Amino acid sequence: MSFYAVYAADVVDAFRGLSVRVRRRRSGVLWFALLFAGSVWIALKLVEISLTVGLPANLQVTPGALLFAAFFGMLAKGAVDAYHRAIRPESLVFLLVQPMSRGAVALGKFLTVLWFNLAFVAAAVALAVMFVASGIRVPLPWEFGASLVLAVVSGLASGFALAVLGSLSTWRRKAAGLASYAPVIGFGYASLVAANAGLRDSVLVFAALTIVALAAVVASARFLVEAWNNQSAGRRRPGKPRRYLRLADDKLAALVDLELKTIVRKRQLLLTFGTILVVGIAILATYSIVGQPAGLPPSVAGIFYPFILAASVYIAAATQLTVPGLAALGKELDRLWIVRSLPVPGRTAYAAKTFAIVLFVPAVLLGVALPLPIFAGFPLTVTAFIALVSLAACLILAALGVFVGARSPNFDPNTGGLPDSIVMYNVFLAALVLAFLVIAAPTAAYQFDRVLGIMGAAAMADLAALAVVLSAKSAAHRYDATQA
Amino acid sequence: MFRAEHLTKRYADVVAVDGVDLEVRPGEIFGLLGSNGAGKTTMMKVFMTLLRSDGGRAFVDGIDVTRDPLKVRAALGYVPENPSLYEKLTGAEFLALLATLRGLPADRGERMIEATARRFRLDRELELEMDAYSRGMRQKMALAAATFHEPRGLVLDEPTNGLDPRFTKILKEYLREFAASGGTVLLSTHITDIAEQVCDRVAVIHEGRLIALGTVPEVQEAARASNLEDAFVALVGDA
Repeated sequence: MSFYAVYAADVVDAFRGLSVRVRRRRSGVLWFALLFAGSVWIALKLVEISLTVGLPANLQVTPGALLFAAFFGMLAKGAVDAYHRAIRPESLVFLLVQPMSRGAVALGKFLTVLWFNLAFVAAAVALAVMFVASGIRVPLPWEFGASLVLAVVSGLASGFALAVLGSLSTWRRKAAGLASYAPVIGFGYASLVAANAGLRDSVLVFAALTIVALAAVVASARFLVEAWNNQSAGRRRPGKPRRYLRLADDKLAALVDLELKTIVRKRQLLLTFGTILVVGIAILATYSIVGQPAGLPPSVAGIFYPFILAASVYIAAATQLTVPGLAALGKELDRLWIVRSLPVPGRTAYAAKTFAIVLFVPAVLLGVALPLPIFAGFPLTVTAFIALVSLAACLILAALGVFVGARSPNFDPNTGGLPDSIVMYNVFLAALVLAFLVIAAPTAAYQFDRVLGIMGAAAMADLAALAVVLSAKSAAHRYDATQA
Repeated sequence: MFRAEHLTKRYADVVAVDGVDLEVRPGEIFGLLGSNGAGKTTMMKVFMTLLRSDGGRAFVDGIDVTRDPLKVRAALGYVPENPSLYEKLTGAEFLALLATLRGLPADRGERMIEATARRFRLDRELELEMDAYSRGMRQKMALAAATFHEPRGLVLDEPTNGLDPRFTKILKEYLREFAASGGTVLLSTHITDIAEQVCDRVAVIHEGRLIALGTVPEVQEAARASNLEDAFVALVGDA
């Protein structure tokens, strides 16, 4: 039962940390509860409308595909959580030197990851049952609930195993480790999506996936020490230090360079470009498969691709621009002393952090917002309008991350500086509302008059840029006031 | 160089520093001795502008630390108790970054870094990303970062942590040279031998209050002990 001791200690530690943050921001918890319930309600309502109206054949989403998407999402979440909780922390040494098996350490850490995420899913399912009971007409068969819970468990366990295997010491070992698990994911895709599994079959598929994934968690423990040690395997870089970029302000340039070098050398850049690429490919794939959405009412068909584009820009910007801003101060942890003990004002320090985030806005525009208009041959005015509203959305989401990240920094070393789930959820929903506002207002103007719409989009991008500057200024005040 | 006037700092209900009055003169090596949690680190962080005091005032070179923190930081070099560094930068990149942030011209910065690297025997540390550093290497790099720009004062929190005897000797020699050239050192240590060997004066802090102050022989005499270690135990035990 030593795995239970690891799990219990982690949960107590995390629970106390969460309690402190909740006590500090009680209104945030209330907002979270309302927004969480609201989003479950909206999701159910959308399903209800889709079932009532009936979607065209080329837009049908099968339960198997939906459950596989849940599995895949949880796989990503599990990998991130496992990296921060089980692979990265230096404190893992105190567990690794105890007279217990590495499997117990891995299992204990995995249970912590599972506990947090399953709690969210349980709350969502409970709310869904409540809403269905109160009149929303969405069928919720027990097989779907059971499959969803198993998808969460197997997804998180797969993510845990992949995080360990992906952190091995050499590229060859990483590739071999990740490839060894690929058939499991392939099996999930083939049985759930390609074979169009029914709900009853989904339960069986996920039961099998769960068994394999849990076994993979225990098996991955064999490599946990290697993965953990590999986190402190710095490279030699001989020669004179060279900067990635030059700016007029030398101090600002030096701090931006620090941020960029960290992003590149921690391989976060790969993740950023990978995410943008996947979202971009998904949009183009949707266009290739669906084509013109025949069968939809003309009013809906007209906004189908704008909606897909807006949603994609939101996803890319929220994950690649808002999240880094949220972690900007929290990730400094014990290193805050370095810049804070130098004659560098907080506004320069935070301007550099903000600059390093905003540098990725062009990547989101080029990778997500523009490929479809170019590929599908949208008129130039439409393409220009899309570029401008996407720029506005990217900037406003970057501003939001910077602002909230400095207001609610999380110095917990287990999270890499990211705020806890409650704050994160609230921020993502706030980001959704902000993105909607900056996109909807110019779009309304565009439908009335094209030139006015484009001018409105440009003005919105301008305002969003101002929001970035103001957020960085406000964050700098917080940064200066932070007691290191 | 360092002056505290009735300095007080609280963490919730705990009083970490309780109305401390203290003055460290220019050219002096001043040691803060105290048990774990006595308030040494807190006091040093107030001088470094990393923490705000809840009462009293702190001055560095006559400047109120709350009035002009940037000027205070420009005058000082600092080594924290557990120096975490930017793990993905090499030592050379780290020192070059600090030189830029301290506003040193590039060529002067390079010369200063080279001199510091020679003094502190930094060799492979300069080329290696810092997440591969051992505890001792991290400490050496933090000391190099605190001293390369020739500050007027040094605030060193347990500076010998993790250092081997050879480097501890180099550090002690450097501190004596630094003080002889007019620099001021405020250092905290658990190791009474170090305090005996390098400090001109020491202060014993216990539960946030200053309970003894003077040269090493004066503190020993006040505690009626034959060495600083016994004096420390007698003072802290009696307090």
